[in-house]
Amino acid sequence: MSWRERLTPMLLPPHPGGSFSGPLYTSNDGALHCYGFAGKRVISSQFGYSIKAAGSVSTPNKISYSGYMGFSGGSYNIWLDPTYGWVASTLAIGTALLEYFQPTDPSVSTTVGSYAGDAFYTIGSASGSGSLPSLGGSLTAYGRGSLRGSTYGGTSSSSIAVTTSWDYWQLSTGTYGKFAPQNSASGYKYFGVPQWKKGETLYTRSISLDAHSKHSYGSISWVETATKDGEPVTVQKFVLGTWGSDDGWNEASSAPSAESSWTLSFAKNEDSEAEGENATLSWNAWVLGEETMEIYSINASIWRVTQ
Amino acid sequence: MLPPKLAGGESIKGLRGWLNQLRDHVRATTPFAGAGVSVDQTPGGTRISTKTAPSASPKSKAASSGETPAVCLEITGSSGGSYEVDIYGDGFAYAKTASGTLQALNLALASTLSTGERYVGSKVSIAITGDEA
Repeated sequence: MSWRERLTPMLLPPHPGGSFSGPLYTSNDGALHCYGFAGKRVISSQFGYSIKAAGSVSTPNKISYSGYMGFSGGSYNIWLDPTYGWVASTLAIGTALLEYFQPTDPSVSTTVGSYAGDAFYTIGSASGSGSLPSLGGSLTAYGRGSLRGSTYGGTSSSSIAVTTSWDYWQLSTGTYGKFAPQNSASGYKYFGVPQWKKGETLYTRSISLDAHSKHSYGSISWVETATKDGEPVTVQKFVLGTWGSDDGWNEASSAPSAESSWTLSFAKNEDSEAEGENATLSWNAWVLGEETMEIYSINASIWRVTQ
Repeated sequence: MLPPKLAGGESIKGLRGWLNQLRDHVRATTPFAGAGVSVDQTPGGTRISTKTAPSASPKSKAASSGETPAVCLEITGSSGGSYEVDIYGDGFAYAKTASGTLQALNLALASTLSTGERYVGSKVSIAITGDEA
């Protein structure tokens, strides 16, 4: 797998849990994105964390409701209502909500009766404006409108638990490197290519593989066979320099491991009197690399669904 | 008329007239319009090449020279945050000439382009990087 730069960085409504930042890359199969979220580089299949309401997960839907993206796909839609704050409801996402108190007999009392209106929950508040839990947090959402009950100014007996959900990979610092799994995610993910150095010379691993399914590392490449004295010879080494040169060369049988040094032994022809030293490449960093891909671009109009 | 054969040892200054005569001869005998011969004097020597229609100067991310700067594209699918396209290098009136990849600038991530839509796009380079140890 490789990562492709996205020419349009982050045209998204804000997520309530943190702001997005570029650069944005997407895996070549489209399954994962790599971007900045709340100040850290993350890899995820979605943009920001999901909200779990009553055990059902709703994912960020990238559409703006009162200025923030909403959450859909679960049993409850979750969005920012201009009057009631963050709400959860089985109603269509973005529905304009209303709660009112219906007195049984207004001539007797205006506080005896029951609440009516739309069926929804305000998250983290029984009677005020709702909010969303931060990543890893939890809040109780209380019934509002037709779910609130009969106690004037009271708290509904109907409530649901609201938590967050997100399986993702995160890099502790920087932009390129080894991303650690978070929550239920497993394994490590990598963004970038490993790079070694020797003196001022950098050796960056290629993204693509050669005909023998080997990467190249700057001027170091895999030599499968060569010709010596007019006869084909099997080499099967990573070679720095020119294999068979009278001046000798450096070679290694196996590819380097990221974040470790790599030593290529000095080698020479049997009849050569050349002298040389092993070449040890020290680990440098995970980097973007310099490889590119040619694509076409068009300039589309900005189009967003908003409420 | 062709210039006389060079004797060798001519100075650069002395070659100017010879080159101009050669240029005029080739221009006069080249049978196609809109083209010609380019004669460039450089510190490393003299280059004589066929001159073709001028192309736009490539910008930092523009296509390499010799590429068509803008071509007709029809979306055939999507993959990896990009769109797969058929390329009609000679225009939509003719058969497709290749396939490629397209990205849309200034398009919200919640928005999509549909299969079958047609655009005129420009070739650009995007960065790619690896993912495994």
